[in-house]
Amino acid sequence: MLKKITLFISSFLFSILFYGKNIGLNYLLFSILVILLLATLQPKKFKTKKILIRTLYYLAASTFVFIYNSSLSIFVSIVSLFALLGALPTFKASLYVEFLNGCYTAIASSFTNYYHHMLEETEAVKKKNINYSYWIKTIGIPILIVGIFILLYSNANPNFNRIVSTIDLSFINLKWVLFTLLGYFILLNFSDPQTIQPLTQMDSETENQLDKSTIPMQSSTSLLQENQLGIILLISLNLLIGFFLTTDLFYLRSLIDVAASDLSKSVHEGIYALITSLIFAIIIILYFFRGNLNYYKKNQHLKTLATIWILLNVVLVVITAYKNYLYVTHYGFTYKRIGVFIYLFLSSVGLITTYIKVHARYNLWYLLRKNIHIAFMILVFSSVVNWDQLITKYNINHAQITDIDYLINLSNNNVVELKEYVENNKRKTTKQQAERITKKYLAYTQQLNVNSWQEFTYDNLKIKK
Amino acid sequence: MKTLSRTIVTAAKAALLASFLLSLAIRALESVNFNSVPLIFILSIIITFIISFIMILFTIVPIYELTPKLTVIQKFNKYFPLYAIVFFLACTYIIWNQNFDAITNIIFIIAYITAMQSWVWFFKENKKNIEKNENN
Repeated sequence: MLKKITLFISSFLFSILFYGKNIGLNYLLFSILVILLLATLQPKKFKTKKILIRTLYYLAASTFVFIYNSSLSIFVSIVSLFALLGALPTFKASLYVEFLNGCYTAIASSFTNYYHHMLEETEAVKKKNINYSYWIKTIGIPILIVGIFILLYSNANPNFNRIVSTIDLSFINLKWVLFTLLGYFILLNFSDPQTIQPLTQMDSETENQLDKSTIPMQSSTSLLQENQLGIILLISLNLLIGFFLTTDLFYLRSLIDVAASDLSKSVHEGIYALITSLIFAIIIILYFFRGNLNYYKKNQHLKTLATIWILLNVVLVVITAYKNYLYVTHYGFTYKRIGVFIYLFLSSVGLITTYIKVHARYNLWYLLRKNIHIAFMILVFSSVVNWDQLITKYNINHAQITDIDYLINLSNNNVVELKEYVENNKRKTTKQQAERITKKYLAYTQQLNVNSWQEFTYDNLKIKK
Repeated sequence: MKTLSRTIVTAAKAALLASFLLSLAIRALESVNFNSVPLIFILSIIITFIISFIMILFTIVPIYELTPKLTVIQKFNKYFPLYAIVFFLACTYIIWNQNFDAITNIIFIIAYITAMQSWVWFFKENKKNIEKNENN
């Protein structure tokens, strides 16, 4: 009963917050509503550290939706919500399982519940469960009596009548009702988190450590041959990457004065080479260290060669990062260039976890779990940054060449910086660009002024100051 | 034969549900002439029955038929989450690709709800069969 009333009120609030509105303060308020709903329905689970941390992530990400209103912050907030919903029914699951469980809960939990509920019920129970007269009494009678009293009080008191007549319920129409039902469906899904049973079970049964007893037996000759193959292959690959890096270092010295197109080509080719190299490196290492070779007494050389190869790949990451840095100092930041830095960072993490996997005898699941966890942390922290503002400030103040058209096409988070730039540097922008910036600024400030309270963003507060 | 009858019954229920939701959604759109709603309902029943039948036949029936070792409930528990996630992603992609156009939103939200409910109807098992499976 408590659940039904809570969901009913929450779906009504959902409509008030989102019906015909853009994203803004409403998103943050909805997140608080979801947290309150979950905490009301599952209070015990909200006393655990893990759930509290997940809640904090979700709340922080939703706060950044209010502050920046960017697609990235919305995406991070949704991912954080999935992590929270997925963590509720399973305390020990891996993060990727929690995401999938959370995603499943958010989109289809009510259907699963309905299915299981339907199987359990007999016809007699069904009839007993739907007590129509109870619902008519509980909802109908209070509404009727309150309505009669409102009419009586309105006639008795002109002030009361005036206030009552100002209540506008014209927004309630079929579209609004359907929207509220959609809200009810979403919140109903959230209210009873589910798990993907086979996946959750498999995850809980799989440890990070390699299990020697589950590895198929291999003859000593076969092991020796595999070890030799690994050594020969890794020596060849190390020599090849070593030669590539030497030539690349020489090329790097000449890069400072090259044209933009050459620098761009060099960075992009470096990235493609790096992606291929890293994928192969990890696949080959995982292949050789998949089973018995981990416990082979003479695997020391193979381990050393694998470590050298990982190190050389890290050098490749550093060189490519430096090329990207040169590119950024010349031509400024873009999302793609920031993406390259993030990719390079994640690659380094992947290489380090592969190194740990080899030396600590972990399995593939360890790599998957750790890397997804780190990627999630980076994603959460990336929503803290106002990227459009950062790109604009850097490109205007530090880059040697500034692509103003690119900056104009970014979101509204950089309008203030662009406006100041065009006012202080009239010679550096064309007339058309200056007009576009002014138009963007005016459109945004106008939009902020007409925002309803649900659509309020942090910029509304700044404008008031 | 049993599977075919399940398919037809589920497709019929799905067609009714989808048509009902579609009529409601169309009624909610202020630009539509109210007199045309009954006609749309009848037309949509025929069209959605055909679409539902084909969808069930090609996406749900193979899962139901190709896993004979599992009970109906086990089949549902094992494959429904995967189906739900894939179907949801596909619908979201189409909606996003059409720039959140109102008509596309309505069609694919209804398609998603109908597909999920079709699973529930298709995998519905009576109490006797459940007890029989549990005893086995």
